[in-house]
Order: sequence, then C-alpha cells, then structure tokens
Amino acid sequence: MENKTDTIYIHRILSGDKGAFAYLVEKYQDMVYTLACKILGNKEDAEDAAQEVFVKCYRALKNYNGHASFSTWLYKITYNHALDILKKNTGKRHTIEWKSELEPDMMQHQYFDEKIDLKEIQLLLKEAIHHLSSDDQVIITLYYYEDLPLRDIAEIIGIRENNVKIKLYRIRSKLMELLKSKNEIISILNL
Amino acid sequence: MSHKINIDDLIKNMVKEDGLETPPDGFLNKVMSSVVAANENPVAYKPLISKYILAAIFSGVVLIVFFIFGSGYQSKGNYPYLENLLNGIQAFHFNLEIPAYISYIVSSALIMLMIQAVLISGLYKKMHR
Repeated sequence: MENKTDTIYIHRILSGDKGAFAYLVEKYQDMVYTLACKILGNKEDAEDAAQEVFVKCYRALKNYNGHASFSTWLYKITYNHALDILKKNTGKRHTIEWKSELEPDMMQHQYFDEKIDLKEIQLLLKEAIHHLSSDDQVIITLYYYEDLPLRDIAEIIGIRENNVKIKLYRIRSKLMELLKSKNEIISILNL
Repeated sequence: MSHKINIDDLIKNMVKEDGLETPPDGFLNKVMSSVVAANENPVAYKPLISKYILAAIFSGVVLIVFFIFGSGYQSKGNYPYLENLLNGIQAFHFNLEIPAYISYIVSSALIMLMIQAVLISGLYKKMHR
C-alpha cells in the first residue's frame, strides 16, 4: 500500500509536479536524517547530507526502475552519499567487517535472567547502542525501527543477506554481554 | 524481580520508543529550494568515452587490418579498386614491412580495447543510475 502511494507521487513528479516531491521529503526526511546522523556522527553534516540526498534522489528519479521499494532505493542513496562525505572528511576508507562462515543457531532468540528493573535495562541498552559502530547502528535502525527485511538491508548496505544475519547476531551478542556485565556491576553495588 | 527477557524484543521496544532524529525547522523548504535550483540547472552527464574517440579507435582498427593485408598482398587482378587502395596504402607507408605478429597483436589489442570501452561505459551508467 505504502509502495503504491509512493509510486503515484513519483509519477506526478516525473510529469512535472515538483510540489509532489515535498510529500516524499516529508515522509522520509526523518529516516534519511537519522541514517546520516548515525554515519556522520554530527547533526550539521547530517543535515547537509540529507539535503543533498534528496536533491540527488530528485535528479535520479527518472532512473528509478521500481525493482526495489522507493524507501530502499532512497536509503541506499543516503547510505552511499553519507559514506562519500565521511571519506572526504576523514580520508579513511569505510570497510564493513563480516565473517564468511555461518555460525550455528543464528536466529536463536537470546534470553537472560534479569534481576534489575526493566527500565534500567532499557537505559543501559540505549547507552550501549550509541557506542556501537555506525554500520551496526544503521542496521539496528533499519531492522528494528523500519522493520525492513534482511534482503532490503543487504541491498542498502551493499553486502549479502547472510552477512546481515551474521551482523545482527553479533550485535545482539555484544549487547547481551554488555547488559550482563553491567547487571553484575549493579548487583554488586546494590549489595 | 527475576524474569527471562528476549533481547530482540528489548532492542525493538527501545528503538521504537527512542524514535528517529528530526531535522531542524525549515529543512523541507531548503530541500525544495535546492530541487527548484537543480531543475533550472540540470547536470549534463558526459559519456565515459566520447563517440569521436570510439570512432577514432574503430578507424584505427580498420587501418591496421588494411596494413596487415597490405604488406604482403598478392595481386590477383580481380579487384582493381582494392588493389589501387592497397597500393596507395603501401606507398604511404614507404614499403615499411610490419611483421605480421606485431600487426596481429596491435589489432587484437585495439579490438579488445573497443569492446572493453563499450562494456565499461555500460557498467558505469548502471552504477551511477
């Protein structure tokens, strides 16, 4: 349904209705800005990047073939553009670490016993997520907030679907370990 | 209070509650102004390899092929125009004998370059769609 609405507006834009583009900007500006923030780490650069992304998107709209959803296509432009800016600013090449072999039970849900307040866990989790790498934060946002399928996330970041699965597993494990270690500290302090 | 917690649900709830970052006020207006400006000054994309260079490469290949057949051509008397052309080419290069293997190498390299130029040009257009 969402795709159909976007398609209608894209046709209007391609027919010359520039105002229709404002609908798409309003709809996706938060996510584009958030992704840019996660990669660039600063709001001023992210704002400029997000603006440039929408201009790029407008210029490239005639080449949008509809194979992927518009949101996936837009987020891919955002990701690549933010990385270009990062490379220009820092001069570093951006590499994504991934393992080549599949670990067992990749999608097994991870549980742990918690003896502290749930709200406190969420605060710890929030802090822990902000300390993850920019790629991990992007994956978390796309998977947990936007509910994008792994295939689309793989398309956006430019890695294989299997590697996205591996990265998600590693993110969960990292956060689990962090929560467990924080929980032990809190338990000790509360004695 | 001790209970089992699913880390997946925890992350999802936390991320949803935290929400997304919001761009500053006036972002939409800035974007639309840039879009209007972009519309008035469209970016002209140049092809990776221009048509003229491709035509020059193709002509070079054709000339090389002529040289290959021209250096050791035996007149059979059935194609007078072709003989005249080849005699002219032979006269132009002052009877310089180019070894056949060098001619084959150069012409193969030029043909390969032309094919690659077309393929790379297509790939470049696809990447920057």
